[in-house]
Amino acid sequence: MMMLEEVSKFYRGRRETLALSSVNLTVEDGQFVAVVGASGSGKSTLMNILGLLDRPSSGGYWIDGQDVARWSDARLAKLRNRTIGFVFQSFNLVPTLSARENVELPLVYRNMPPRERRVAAEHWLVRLGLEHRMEYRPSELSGGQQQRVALARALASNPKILLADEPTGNLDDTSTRDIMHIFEQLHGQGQTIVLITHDARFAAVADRIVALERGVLRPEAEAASHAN
Amino acid sequence: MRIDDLARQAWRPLWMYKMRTSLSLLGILIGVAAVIALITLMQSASASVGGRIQNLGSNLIVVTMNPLVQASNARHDLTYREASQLGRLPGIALAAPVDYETSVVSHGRRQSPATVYATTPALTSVLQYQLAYGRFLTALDVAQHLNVVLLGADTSLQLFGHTDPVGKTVMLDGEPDTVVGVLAAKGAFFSVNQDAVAIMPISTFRDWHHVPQVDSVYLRARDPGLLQTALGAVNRHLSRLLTGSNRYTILTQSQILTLTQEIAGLLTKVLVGVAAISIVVGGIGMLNVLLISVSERVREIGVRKSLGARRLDVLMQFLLEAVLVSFTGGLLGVAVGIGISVELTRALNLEMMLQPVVPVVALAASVVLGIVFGLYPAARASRLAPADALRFE
Repeated sequence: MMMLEEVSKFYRGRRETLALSSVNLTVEDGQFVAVVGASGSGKSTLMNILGLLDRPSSGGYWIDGQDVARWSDARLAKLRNRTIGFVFQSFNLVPTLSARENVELPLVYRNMPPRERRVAAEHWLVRLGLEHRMEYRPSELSGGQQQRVALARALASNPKILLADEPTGNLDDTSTRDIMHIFEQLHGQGQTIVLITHDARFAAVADRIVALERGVLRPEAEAASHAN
Repeated sequence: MRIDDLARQAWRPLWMYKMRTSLSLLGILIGVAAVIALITLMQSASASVGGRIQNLGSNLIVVTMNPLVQASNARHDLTYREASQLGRLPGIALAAPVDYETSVVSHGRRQSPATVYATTPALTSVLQYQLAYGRFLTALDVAQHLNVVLLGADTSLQLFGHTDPVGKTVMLDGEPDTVVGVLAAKGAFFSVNQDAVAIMPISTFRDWHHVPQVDSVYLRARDPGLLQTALGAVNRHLSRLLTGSNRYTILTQSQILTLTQEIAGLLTKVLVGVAAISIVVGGIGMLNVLLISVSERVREIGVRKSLGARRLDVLMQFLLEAVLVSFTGGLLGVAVGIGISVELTRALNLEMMLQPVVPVVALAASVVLGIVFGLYPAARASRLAPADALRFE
């Protein structure tokens, strides 16, 4: 279970910017939560804090009962590696590595022996229909294929939570439907998912929809109507 | 991260971006190659010169008259007779007075620049010359002021090709001279070609030029044990004969050897310093390329961190990239440096002297440089906050 309590985030520049304001959010195990909101509403900041990529300026963050808001960088890296899988809008595959090596990467940082991680990577690539593209580099794959590689990479480490930031934002309709279908399947198998999306159709697949507006999380009923 | 994975992660971008990698290792390569080639060349030249000086024998003494003595009423010249008399001093076996001149020897239309040694028959014994053709100078040549000449191997080759020139006539300082012999090739000495020479009787030379004094006297002690006795006798004799200070310089073979080694050592230090600067400049070039590489890969660093890479993992990856670049540059530099050394020593006719410690130290220096110059870009990469790095366009 993930729990944000009164989380605020300020960015200090010439002027102080408030990105998140007193956000309270609980994501139960197995839930599929969609976060919707306009550009600049704080969605990515929320995802960065949920994904342990950034720290809240104030407030508390608990993962499975552990207060992680004040953990060291190294401890957070380890927790991120074992707990969270990321899918980004722009795929973010490492261009110098093949599809299989990209999927193996989180397992490399987990010190998993090469043979075991190869098996895990190939399992997910096959499951996502990329068995003939394993040794291709990202530049040799279509957008949809790259996003499936990114999804395989996120899932290969068997994460507790899958965090997806506009995963269909750069995809055509067919690939979008593909990815949505995969997310539904994963949710059906009990995967906890937090999805940030502009796409109302995609958000509708989630159990819960929460909306952000200028850093403030709006009540869920309003969010659902917003998404619809 | 496992060490084999670390090496793979570091190597892959270097292999993928070959142009960038080549550019960053080029500076190190040139620097290391320069260090090795320069040190090898200096050591080879020094050993060769040292060997030749030792071949002169440890009982050689050279008296050189100083040409820059200014004292107007001081007597600083040594006449031919006085120079010859040095041979009678205790401990001295042979004395050869020498006058030098740089001139052109010609035969028909062929010309050859040469250093002319005007001397007595003793010089060839003192300096242990060998003959290729004919004979050395004789006492009779000097006594009768004959127009005869001994040619160096190169001079003979330029004027007569590979034929025996003994008995032929050459022109020197506008005078005809009969070739009586050709010296065996000796090679270069301090980059001075010892084979572009003409040796003639000092008496004939003095008839032509009317020079009252000699430039040098080459002496040979009776045996190496008598060197100090001979030196003392020469010094005392010359001090009595000449007035004024700094009139002459006496060098023995061991002093020449020491002096040569000191000059070679100093030159080596200067050249190594210059080459070391070029390695450091190469390192700065590498630093520049690594910094560009880090700024181009900010997003990748963010992705790696999002997947669980710790600061240390990112630091080690970029540091290892730098070390791999500098080590490869160093390794190629060693190969190129040895290649250049082989070619240069062959071209200069020197025996190559490459101490194994030189490439080892050069390689170690390049690795240290990789660590030193790689540390800053690597630390910069490792300190990037994952959220900021992922936002980077």
